[in-house]
Amino acid sequence: MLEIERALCLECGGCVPLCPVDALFLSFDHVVVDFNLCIMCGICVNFCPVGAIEESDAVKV
Amino acid sequence: MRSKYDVIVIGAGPAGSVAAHEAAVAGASVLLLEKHKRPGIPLCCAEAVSGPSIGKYLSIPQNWISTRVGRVKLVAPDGSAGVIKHPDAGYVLDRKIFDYELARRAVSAGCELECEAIGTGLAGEDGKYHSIDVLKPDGSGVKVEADIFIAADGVESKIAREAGIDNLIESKDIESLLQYRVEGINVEPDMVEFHIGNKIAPHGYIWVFPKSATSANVGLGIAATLEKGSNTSVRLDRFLEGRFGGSYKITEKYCGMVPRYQGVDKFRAGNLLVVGDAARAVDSLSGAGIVNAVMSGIFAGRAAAAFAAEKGMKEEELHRLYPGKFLEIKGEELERYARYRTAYNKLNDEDLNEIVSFVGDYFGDKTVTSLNILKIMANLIAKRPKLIRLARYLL
Repeated sequence: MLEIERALCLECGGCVPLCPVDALFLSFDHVVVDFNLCIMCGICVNFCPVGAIEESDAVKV
Repeated sequence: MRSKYDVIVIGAGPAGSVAAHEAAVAGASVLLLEKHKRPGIPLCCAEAVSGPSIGKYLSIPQNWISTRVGRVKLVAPDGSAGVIKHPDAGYVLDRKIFDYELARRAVSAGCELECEAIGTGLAGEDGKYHSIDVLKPDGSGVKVEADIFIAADGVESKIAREAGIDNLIESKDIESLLQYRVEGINVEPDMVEFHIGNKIAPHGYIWVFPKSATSANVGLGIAATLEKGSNTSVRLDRFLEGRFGGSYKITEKYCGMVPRYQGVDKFRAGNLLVVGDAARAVDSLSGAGIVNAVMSGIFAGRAAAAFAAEKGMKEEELHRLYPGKFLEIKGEELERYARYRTAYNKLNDEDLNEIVSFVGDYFGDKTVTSLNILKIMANLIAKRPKLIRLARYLL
C-alpha cells in the first residue's frame, strides 16, 4: 500500500492530478489516499519531488 | 456563511481571488472558499511574472514585489551565456503578500471569504450544478447553493473532475519541481537566470530568481519519464554547490507540479467555470501561470456575474463570455507554447548551445522594450539551420 510521509510532504498537491483512478486528495494540510481505489501504479511515487510517497508491503491496520 | 450565493469560487489563489473580485464588483453575491488558514500559503511557485503582461490587468504596488527584473540570462550546457536586456521585463513577486492582498481586494469589493474551507461534492446534473459541500477541519460540512461555480482549486482541481472534466495529467507531461529559498549568496537583483541542459535538468531547466541581492528562489523541474522526482534534490544541491560554492543557506523548501495546456474543453462544464492552473491555463514551455490565472479569473468572474444576473442565459452565450473571451486573447498563444514545449523536449545539448549563442548574437548589447516571440523564432530557424527540423513546432 501507499504511505504518505507527512513530515516530508510539502502539500503541493502535485500528485493529485496524476492519479489515474482519483485515489488521492489534498485535505487541509495533508494528502489522503483512498486505499479502495489505489491500484499501486506508482506514478505518484515516481513524481513526488520530495520523496514523501512510498510503496510499502505493510498491511493496512 | 449564508445558504445561497450568486457565485461560489473554490480556491483563493490569484485566479480565484481575481474572479471573486470581478464578480463582486459586477454586483454578484460571492462566496470565496480557501482550504488553507489564509491565502498565499503554502508557496508552490517561483514567483516571477512578466511585467507588460500582468500590467494590462493588475496594477502591482511596490510592496507586492521582491525584485524588479531588467535582465534575463540564459546559460547553455557549455557554460556560454546570452543576456536579454529588457528594463520592464517583470517582477519576482512576494506571493505571500500578492495572494493575500488579492483576496483582501475581493473582500473589500463585498465578497465573503471563508478560510479553512474545502469545497467538494459539486451537485447537479446535465451541467446544471446547484450546490456544493463546504467542509471544515473539524469534520463538519454544510451544503451551500449558487447559480454558478468557479473552480480555482489549482493543479489538483478536484472540482473540475467532479463535473466530468478529464484533466488527468499524463505520464509524458509530468514534471517534478523542487525549489529552495537560498540566502547568504550574492546575486544581481535585477537578473533572472535560466540554466538549460540535459545533464543538469533533463527536459526542464534550473531557475535563479533573485528575491534580493543576497537571496533567491532557486529551483528546477525535470521530466518524471526520465528519472525519479526525488532526484531533483540531488540535482539542485549539485547546482548550488557549483553556482554558489559552499557559502549558501537553504531556508525554505517548496515543491510542485506545473500542468500543461490541454485545450478548450478543460475550461467549462455547464455552469462550472474553470480558471488558472485548474483549467491548465499555463504557458507550457516555461510553466508560467500567474498571468493566465489572473486573466482567466477576470473573464470568468465577469461571465459568472452576468450569468447570475440574467436568468435563463443560454449555454452558448455563457461559453462566449467564458472561456470564449479569454481564449480569444490567449488561446493561440497557449497552443503555440504547448508546441514549443514539444520541440524543447526534442533538443539535445548541442541544440541548446546553438539557441543560447543565437540569443547572444540576436540581442547583443541592445536594450529591448518588448519581445516578439514569433519573429525571434523565425530568426532562430533562419540563423541556425541545424534547428530546421523543429520548424513545424516553432513557426
